[in-house]
Amino acid sequence: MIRISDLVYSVGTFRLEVSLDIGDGEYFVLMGPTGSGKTAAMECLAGLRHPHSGCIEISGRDVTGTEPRHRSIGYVPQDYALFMHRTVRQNIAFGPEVRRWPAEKIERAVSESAGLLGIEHLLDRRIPGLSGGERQRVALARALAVKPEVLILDEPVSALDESTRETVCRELRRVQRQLNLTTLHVSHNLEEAFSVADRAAVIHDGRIEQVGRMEDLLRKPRNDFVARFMRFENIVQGNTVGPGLGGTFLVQVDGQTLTLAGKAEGPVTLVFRPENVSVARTGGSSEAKSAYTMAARLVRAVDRGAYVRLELAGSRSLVSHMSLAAFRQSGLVEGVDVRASVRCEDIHVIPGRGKDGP
Amino acid sequence: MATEKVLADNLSMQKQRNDVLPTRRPRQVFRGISVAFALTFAGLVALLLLADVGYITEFALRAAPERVQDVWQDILSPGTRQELALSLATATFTTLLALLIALPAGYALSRYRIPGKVVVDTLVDAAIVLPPLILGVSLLVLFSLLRRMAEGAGTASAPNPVLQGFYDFFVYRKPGIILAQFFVSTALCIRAMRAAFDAADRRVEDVALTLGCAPFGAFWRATLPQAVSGMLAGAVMAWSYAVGLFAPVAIFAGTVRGRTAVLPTRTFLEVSVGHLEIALVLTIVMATIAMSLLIGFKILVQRRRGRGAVI
Repeated sequence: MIRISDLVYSVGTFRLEVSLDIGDGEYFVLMGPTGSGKTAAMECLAGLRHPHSGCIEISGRDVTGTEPRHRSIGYVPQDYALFMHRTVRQNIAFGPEVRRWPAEKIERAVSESAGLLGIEHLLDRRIPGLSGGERQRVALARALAVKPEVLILDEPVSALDESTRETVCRELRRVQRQLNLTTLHVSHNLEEAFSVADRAAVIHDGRIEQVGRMEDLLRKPRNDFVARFMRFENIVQGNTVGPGLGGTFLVQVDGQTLTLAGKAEGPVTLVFRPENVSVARTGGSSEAKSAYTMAARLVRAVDRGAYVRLELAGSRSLVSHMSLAAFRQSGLVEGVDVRASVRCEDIHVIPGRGKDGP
Repeated sequence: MATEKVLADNLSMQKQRNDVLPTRRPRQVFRGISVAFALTFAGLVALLLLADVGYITEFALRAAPERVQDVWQDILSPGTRQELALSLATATFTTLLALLIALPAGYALSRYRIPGKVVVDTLVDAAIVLPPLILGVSLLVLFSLLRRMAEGAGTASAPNPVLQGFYDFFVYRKPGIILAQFFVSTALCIRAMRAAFDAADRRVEDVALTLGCAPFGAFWRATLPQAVSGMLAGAVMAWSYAVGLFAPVAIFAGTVRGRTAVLPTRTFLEVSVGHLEIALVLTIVMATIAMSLLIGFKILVQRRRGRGAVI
């Protein structure tokens, strides 16, 4: 269990203010762009930086003022920071040796840790010859060898190529489940978070914008920053014009009045995901009634492999993702006039006025 | 479609480039030029030593046999051996002392924000910049000040035996040789250690801290091993400088034969009385021994560190 309460840390003009609760055995991902303070927060937790105020608890112990070595943490930094002058075995044995465990216990810890990560065959190798994925596993095995209560991973897979990244993420998840290890994983990558996180938080400018399960972040961003970070791509300002029938309200946007579920007043920000924007050639079958629609020109269609990304320009710019099969069938080409539409139930409403555009 | 065209263009451009300008040739030329610079400089140094050897040979062939005999005896005298031993011993001791100070000092300058760091940094450099002769004079001035204080000059206080002892320990004594060598050697070591610590990965130290090390343990086990190359480079520089140092040693420790004379000071004395041939033979002997020791040291280090050692 990790509990960070009212932590304040500042350096220069940057100020970090964080409170966070991570449950026992939970895999928690802290996401944010570069410079958002995620690494600083993690280093405060590891005891490598000293917060100005606030309290950090690990497994119920207040560790705010304690040295890193007494916090019972396993730490894997971004570039792994392996001991280049030691073999893999010596790297993994470093913690147990420093803690003066008896020889047979050290040996057991090394072989257990290496076995868990499947790197027994590398034990006598030196670090310089290892691949990125192998180094990652060695760093993880080294952190786990001292049997920490909490695992802290700083961008653990961002230096790896895409396919290795997926394998390692699966591995991280498996090891974490197997040991039921409370884990804080810091990342700027969304895909990574999808594949490992129980819960996640988005941090921005030293503050946590939203905490929740990935589905919540993905479907119900609390503000336009989170929406943008979660790649909503379509962010539109509107004004409420009063309540509708049966728990709905009316929003005026681009001269259209939309009936949306829920309650809101004053200016609102409407966000919707590109995969929910359907695009058809003008003059085709008419779209559903309860939808936001826009006449536009298809400016660019980029094949992204898994989908086609369509950039639309009309009274505003929208982005749509379409499966390759659907794109082929639709007969769309760059430059044609189209009609874009989003069903009202796919539109998420954020109260207040956010920043326009993606 | 657009990307395909770009790709095709790139391919054809690359092909053209390969046809017109083979990429290997310019790199070989560059390699040749840079190697030529290295070899030229090493050749210049070799030329200096060769000139000395030439002069000695000419002397041995032309001079009267008795004179050659005299010179030979002078060089083989026990005094020479003692001076040589004293040179090597003091330089080695100075180097160890310099490292002892440079390890923490270089680390501090590399890692911490210290108020007035620029001043500290500049003072370290000043030790290198100061003309060696002036360094010796300054030492002597400082110590004569100490002695006057020890004697209680101008005051009614009793003589201070501690200060007097301090003066007697260094001035015109063997420890004075080490003190004279100490300043520049230590400054060189601090420079080298600072650069080495700058290049070391901080995160490795962080990881060591989380794995159970106290701050000193993390420095010793995680950071210092990364700085070994820099440390050895610093040690080689410090030793080479100390072993050949003359001016401050002569002024502060004196040139008393059999007591504080080291090979460089002896060489100077020989030159000053016109015995150029003796000075040159001693220089060649000194250079040969120093170079053999340095080469031996480098080979030893390379063996121990395996591949990738750079000194």
